[in-house]
Amino acid sequence: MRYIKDWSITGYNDALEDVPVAYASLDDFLHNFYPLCTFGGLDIMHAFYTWLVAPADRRDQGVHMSGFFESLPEEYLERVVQRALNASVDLGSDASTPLAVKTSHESALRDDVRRAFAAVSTEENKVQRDSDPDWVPEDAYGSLLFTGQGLKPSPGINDRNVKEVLLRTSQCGEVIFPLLWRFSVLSIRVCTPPGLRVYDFVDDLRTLTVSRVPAAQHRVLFLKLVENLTRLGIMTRVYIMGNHCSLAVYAVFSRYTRSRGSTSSRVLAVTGSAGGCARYACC
Amino acid sequence: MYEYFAPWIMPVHSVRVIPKVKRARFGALEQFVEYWKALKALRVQLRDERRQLREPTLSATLYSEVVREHASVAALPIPTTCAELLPYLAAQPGPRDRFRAYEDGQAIAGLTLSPEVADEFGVHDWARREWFGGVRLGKTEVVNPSVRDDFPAFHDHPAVAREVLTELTDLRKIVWYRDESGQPIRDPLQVPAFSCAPANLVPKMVSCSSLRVGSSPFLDRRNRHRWTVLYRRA
Repeated sequence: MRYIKDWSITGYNDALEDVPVAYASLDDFLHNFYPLCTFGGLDIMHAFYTWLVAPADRRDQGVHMSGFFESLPEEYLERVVQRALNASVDLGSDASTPLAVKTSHESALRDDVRRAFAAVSTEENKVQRDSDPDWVPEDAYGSLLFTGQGLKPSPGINDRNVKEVLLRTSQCGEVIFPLLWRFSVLSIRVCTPPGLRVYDFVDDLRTLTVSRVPAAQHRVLFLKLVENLTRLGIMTRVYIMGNHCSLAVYAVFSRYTRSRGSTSSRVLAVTGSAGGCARYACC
Repeated sequence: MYEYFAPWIMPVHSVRVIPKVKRARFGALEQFVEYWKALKALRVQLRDERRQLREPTLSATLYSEVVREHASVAALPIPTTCAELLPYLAAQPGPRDRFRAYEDGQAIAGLTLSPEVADEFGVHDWARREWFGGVRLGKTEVVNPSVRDDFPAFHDHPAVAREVLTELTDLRKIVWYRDESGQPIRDPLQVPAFSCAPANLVPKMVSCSSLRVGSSPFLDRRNRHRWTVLYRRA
């Protein structure tokens, strides 16, 4: 579920300057699509929550945890147990520790925590829970520290920053020219021009090879892009990579493009049953 | 030529004794080096052209705005290490009260972007200022702070709401205000300039269940065994 704040009701969105977006369209993608091409799909995780809001505007993004959300002691107990288990590094990280020892340690720890909770009153438990920084307190107020969903300039802020990220990360791929790799006497590394085109739509990134780039090279470039994004701190979820059914996608797209003249969101519905590439197409 | 590639093998004074066949081979190598240099120059040229294409677009939309908004802190050096993040964020304009330091600390904890790698990749200054100093939301008019109750849909699914907020709290994207004793603040008026809009829950699109790396088995049967499931979601 997405947590959306309605800043239009409070009039806050109307008071904010609009930030334009320039999303890639399916037409851009089709312009460079060719049969048996290779493509990839990435999804930026928590895209809007990547960009920090300035301290001066932070408290306009208030959050409220309503009071009648009853705390779940079992859930909190489990959280405490997991934290204690993570703290016991010796047992957790040591691969040579038998599973039975780990299991017994975990059950003993769980019993200890449960006993400690049972020893104090419910009110004291609640106070302890509320003072825990890792627990969402009841009937509390907070602020979103990053650009939230529902804020008018959030898509524009996200778009311009994603474009800057892609500009810097997609050009760092250096590919060893496959023929020259054999000639160790020269050991030349040829820095190819960027062979990967990246199309961004909010938090969805779609990559496509420049024409006639071999699949192996696309794989290298794609994984290099993922590596660069991860190093920079942009967490991505890889959807698909390869040339699955690209011929079929090309056929569907080209037929639709010929008949309609341009693509639209309905194209995505048409290709929705085309197997693996359907996920790619839904950009 | 020989000095460039292998001076320890072929000293310069022995060039004249090379047979014609070998000389021809090295001539081809020389041609290749020229080709390689031309490729490199072309790559630099392409990179510069792409930058020139990008930067006017960015400057038209945001660069002047960002420079104007951050004029007071433009003189601050942009952080290039994690240790410089907190002082840089603390120097940004904003409220100066007892909640500010806690907010800044949580913000740095929730920030995933790396200043070192951003510096290494040559990320533009305007972007690094935004990433590490926060995005200024340009306001055209003054809005009075107000606290509104959440939508009914938010109240109908309390367990889901708690799950969503817990996830954001775990990622350090939300700061919860607390008093000196560590108890949560339940009166929003205690936080200066605090404003809260109604919240809602909207279902996400279900993502795909698996990923396969490699080409199609029908097109490339030799690589079938290399198919690897990297990501699986229930």
